[in-house]
Amino acid sequence: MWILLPFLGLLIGMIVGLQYPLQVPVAYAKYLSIGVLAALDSVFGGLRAAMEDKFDQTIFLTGFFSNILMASVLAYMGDQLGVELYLAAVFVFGVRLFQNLGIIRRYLIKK
Amino acid sequence: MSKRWQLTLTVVSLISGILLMSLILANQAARSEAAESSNEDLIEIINRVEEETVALEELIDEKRDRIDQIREHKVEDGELTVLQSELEWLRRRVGLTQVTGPGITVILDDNEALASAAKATNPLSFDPNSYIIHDKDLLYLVNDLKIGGAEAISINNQRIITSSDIRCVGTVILVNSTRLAPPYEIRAIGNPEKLMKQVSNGQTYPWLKSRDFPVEIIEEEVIQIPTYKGSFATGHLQVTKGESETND
Repeated sequence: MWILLPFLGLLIGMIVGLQYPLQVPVAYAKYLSIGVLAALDSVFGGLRAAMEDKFDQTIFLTGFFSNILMASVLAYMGDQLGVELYLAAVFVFGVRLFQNLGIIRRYLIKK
Repeated sequence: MSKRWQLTLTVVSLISGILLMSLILANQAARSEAAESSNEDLIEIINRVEEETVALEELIDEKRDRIDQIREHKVEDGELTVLQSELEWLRRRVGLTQVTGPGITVILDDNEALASAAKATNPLSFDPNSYIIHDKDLLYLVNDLKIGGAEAISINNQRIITSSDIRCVGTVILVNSTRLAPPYEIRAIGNPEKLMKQVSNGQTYPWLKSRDFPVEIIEEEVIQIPTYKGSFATGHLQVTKGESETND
């Protein structure tokens, strides 16, 4: 049952965001989008760590914020340099998201 | 098992969810804005400028009324009365008076029925240009009317004077730099029979008729044609000496 709690949180967050969206300046929306991907990656990474009983609150929280920040900064820097650096973030987080999902799935089935 | 991580994860995923939806909405808004903003700006500019034109035309009307009042002030001086009647005659020639008389009305409209039929049967070769009234149709028709001896002409209440322009910008026709919309109602004062003959034997009207455009000519006893509301270009014209001498 406890595994559903974070998913429930995500769902409630989405509903709240749909009703009361944060006013994001258009200029930054592009960079923050990469940040959201990082945030999702952190959530699934945290879930996986929890299943492996390796969850560390400090590591998780610092990872969550620094990932968002770094991904956004990377996207911004890439834009300034004319190199599409955000692709690196998209690739890393995308791959890891699926990996973590796969591991979580395995754990759930095994149990 | 410690429950603390559940709380942390739930809170963090809540934040992620809010961020996710906010950004999706922000992106959607940005996209639809980008698609509409330039159009809306232009439409606003056009509307504003057209409002300004109407206001200025009213101002011109007002000023001309005031001039009329001053001019119509009767004077006993014989020389001035002659000048006054000459001025009156010239103003009628130029198109600065509302006039009425017998004549004809020509109505031209886009061929919407045939256009939609053609679009349905053969969408690939469909060319909307073949089914609308163009600026040159109006221009040629006005020419036909002039040849037929029209003394005053208007299109959708825009008086045609010597310096009037009839042209097309995008999908609209401008007359006197004012936007017109179909149906186009062209009124002309003159000998109705002669006008009728000239128009129905001209180039434009029979051509449009043969292509099944909804066009018609109406002979009328009394036609009202409004005054020219625009301005006159000034500043470059000078009367040459020889000309003025022959006039004297």
